[in-house]
Amino acid sequence: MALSQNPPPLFTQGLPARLRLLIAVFLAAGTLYVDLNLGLLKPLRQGLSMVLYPIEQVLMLPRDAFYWFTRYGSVIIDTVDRRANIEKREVDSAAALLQFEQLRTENDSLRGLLELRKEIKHRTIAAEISHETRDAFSNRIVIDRGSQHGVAPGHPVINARGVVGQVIRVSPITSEVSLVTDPSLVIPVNLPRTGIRSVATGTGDGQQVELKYLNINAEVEVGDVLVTSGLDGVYPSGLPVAKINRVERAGGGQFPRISSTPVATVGTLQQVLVILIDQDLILPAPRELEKQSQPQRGGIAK
Amino acid sequence: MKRAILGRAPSTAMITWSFVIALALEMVPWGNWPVPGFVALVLVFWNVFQPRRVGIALAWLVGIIMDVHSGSLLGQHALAYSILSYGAIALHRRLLWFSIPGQALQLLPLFFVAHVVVTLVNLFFSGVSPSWVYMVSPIFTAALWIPVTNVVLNRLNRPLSSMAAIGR
Repeated sequence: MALSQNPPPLFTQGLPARLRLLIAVFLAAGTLYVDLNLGLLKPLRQGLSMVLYPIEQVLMLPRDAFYWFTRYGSVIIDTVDRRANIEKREVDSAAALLQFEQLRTENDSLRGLLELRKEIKHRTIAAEISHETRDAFSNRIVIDRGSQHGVAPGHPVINARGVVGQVIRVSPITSEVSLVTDPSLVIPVNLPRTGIRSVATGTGDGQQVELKYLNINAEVEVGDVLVTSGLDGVYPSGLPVAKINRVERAGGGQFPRISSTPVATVGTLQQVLVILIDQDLILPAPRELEKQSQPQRGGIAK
Repeated sequence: MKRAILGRAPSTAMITWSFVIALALEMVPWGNWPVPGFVALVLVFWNVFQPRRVGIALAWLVGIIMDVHSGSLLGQHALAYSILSYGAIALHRRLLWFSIPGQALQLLPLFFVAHVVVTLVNLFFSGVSPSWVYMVSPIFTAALWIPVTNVVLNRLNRPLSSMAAIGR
């Protein structure tokens, strides 16, 4: 057989490369536009992701085996340590629990008196983090529960320490969760120490959460904990979100720069809880909101 | 100096499997490490050595698969890979006259451009810029060109065993 690099063909073969590039670029721009604005590509994405799912699972086997060995290899030392810790914590929390029961009954009766609506008790399902998405532009993780289990876009995701993020896209058996450090996620918070309300958004670097539009004179200190205010009807109120680690006082006419670190740090193979809130409480997905208010957002997001 | 040339055409199965393996490597949960673009590398390799079999259309398709996997906006990798593929095809005649490390150096700007395209698309549509670590990845991609090309060329230039030559 001849060498595979042949001399240039005598006859033209199909479309010229430049035209092909042009077509490809237009098609790509088209899918970008359609994906961003019309949401018509959801079935395509879901179908493809279903095909990719088993492949992804197989590829994670070596990694999971490694985790398994490291985790169970040192199981005895670890268990002894943990047991000691847990016993200590149990003693500590016994007193707090008693007090908590008492406070709850008191709180219930007070709420009744004030005719406040009772806190909505939501159903939750446990899920496991499967991996981080490989997209350097967003902070997202993938969990192993999807629309078949009742997860829908907008559901908040928490773990034992606090808010992890919000479900942003679901496929039948997995869903993507935007972490609190994702710049597209906005969470209404309040500072229990001073009662100040604000909104927290991610900075996009994967580490920090920022407080936006706070009063210049707001009394905020390093170490303050941000908790969800529950004003949006999505996050139950009182869940810890982040802890303030830096406060830059504002110069003339500026907002102060307040950054904080999320309390719920996530790794892989961790358990999280998805809160299945009522569908009618959920606002449109962040991306849709962003689109509606794009002119303003572009201006101040810097 | 040895010219980089394919002794015989690779089978379709070989091309297919190379893409499958590259996609598989991309799907390993690397997190945010600046790993080389395996798919980009395989794509450029076949664009350079087999430009008539692996072209822009395939690049576009593979790009869409990547977009679905990485959970990013649909079309950004398709766009980047199409441009990458076009560049590689445009370069391929000149490239074959360089030594393999020289080829890697020639291809570095191309990988970089494809990377920048993805960055710009994200900057434009979601206003997010990545950390600088992300921009290092094309260097690794280009560096990986050297071992990959050596291995594949060795395989395809090795004389067939006499049985295989007679048998088929």
